[in-house]
Amino acid sequence: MGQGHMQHLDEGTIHAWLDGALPPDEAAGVERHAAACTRCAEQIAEARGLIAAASGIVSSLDVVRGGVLPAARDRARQRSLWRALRLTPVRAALAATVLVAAGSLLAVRHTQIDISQQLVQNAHNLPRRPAAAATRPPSAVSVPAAAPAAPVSKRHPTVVAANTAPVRDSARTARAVVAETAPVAAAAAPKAEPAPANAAPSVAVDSVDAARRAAAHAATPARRLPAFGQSSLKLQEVVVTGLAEAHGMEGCFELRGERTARDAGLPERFALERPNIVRFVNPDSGRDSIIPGASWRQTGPTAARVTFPLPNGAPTTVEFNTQTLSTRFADVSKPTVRVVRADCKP
Amino acid sequence: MNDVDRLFREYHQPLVRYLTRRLGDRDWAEEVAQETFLRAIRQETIVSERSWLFAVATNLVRDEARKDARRRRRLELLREQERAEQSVDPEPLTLERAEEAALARRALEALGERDREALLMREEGLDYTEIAAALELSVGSVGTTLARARKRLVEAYESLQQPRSDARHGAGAHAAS
Repeated sequence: MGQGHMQHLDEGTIHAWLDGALPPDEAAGVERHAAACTRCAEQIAEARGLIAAASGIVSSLDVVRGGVLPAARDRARQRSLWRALRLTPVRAALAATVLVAAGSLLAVRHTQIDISQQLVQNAHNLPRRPAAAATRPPSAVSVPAAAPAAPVSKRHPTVVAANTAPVRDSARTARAVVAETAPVAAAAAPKAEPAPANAAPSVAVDSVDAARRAAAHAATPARRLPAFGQSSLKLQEVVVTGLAEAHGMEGCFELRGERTARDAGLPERFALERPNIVRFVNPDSGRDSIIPGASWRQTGPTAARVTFPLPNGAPTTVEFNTQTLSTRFADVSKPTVRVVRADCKP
Repeated sequence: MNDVDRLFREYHQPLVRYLTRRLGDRDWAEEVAQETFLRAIRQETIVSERSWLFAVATNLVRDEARKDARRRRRLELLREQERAEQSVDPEPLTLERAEEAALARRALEALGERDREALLMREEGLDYTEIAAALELSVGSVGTTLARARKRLVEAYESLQQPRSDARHGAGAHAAS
């Protein structure tokens, strides 16, 4: 038996009392007993601690503490461009590769004819060398024309000295053609310049072949680079344009006009957020919880299509344009409401 | 504002929070909440809205948990992915908070299903009558259920926390020496 007017309090009663779940008369009895019974008072103190601790543990399950739902909105706002465009590095690399390849192909088609025609023409103008006569390797063609050939031969005693001037001329011609077709890329193509002399082949080659190869070598990186430059420029334009459009219809909207019973399930105000979030907007213009099942997409610079789940279970789609103020429902011929932009907190 | 609007505005947020805490997965919680509201809409009359919603949501979770373990695993993976993505956000969970949350989840999982649900419902502000109705308990037993759930949760949490705190002290002592 306990002290005071009743038995010792059981844990359930203590928790119910602390939770305010007991009827007034019973609560008063517990209070009286707790005041008189040290043991129960201790149990009550312990229960208070348990309630607070359990509540704290449960709260720590939340991403955001204090009874607030995780801020998906903020996360969505913080999404990087990669995530907003649903791009993974692999996808982006693939897309860039395809663009570069396509750009290169087009650029090469335009430049290759000129270059090859020019080179072949130059090469045929060259005097043919005996097979034993060596020439400088293709990689050496970019050595300035004024540079004497002798030191090269000294550095490579196995290579028979030869008149390399025509080769250099043809290489210069090739580079000039390339420079004409793609000046930007040529300027940004340091790789077209290196001329490691020690890269000389140990066999002699026909000078015509050498000229072709030299020209090809000189032209190859330059042919690629303008295409790359063009492609990446296009890629940037696409990305920027896409972004500008993508953010066009984000924001808050409200339904104006006479609402019918059919429209009753639609929120009065809603916010559209990227990537595909439709959120309630409360009367204080604050963004509220996400509308489950709702989705949207931008259909034009000032137009969007939003799908809401309706009370009867069938979703309804509304398409609206903030510029023309037109509002169309998928299943209503003459809507009595229209969607307009509304102010709301960020 | 009609009943559906009111129901949704009033209970959607606590229901999703309850479900998120229960399931550990926000997307799944949203799905279950949506299904719960759809059922509420189809229901002709609901006597006690909140307990009805929480009861239906709880039953949906139980049903889904029983029949769809595969989907759960997938969502688990998605959750991990989401966590990984969150970690690169400008305001990431601190390591300590992430650890706390993981411990809390494990401690909660250590509870019996009914205890866990009663506790989470109470945390969402359901009164004893509503909890009793949602979980098909007698009102008188809710206090006992909650007392047991709270005690076990705190004990489980502390027991899980102990090895970490020992490890920290050990590391501290090691560093000091």
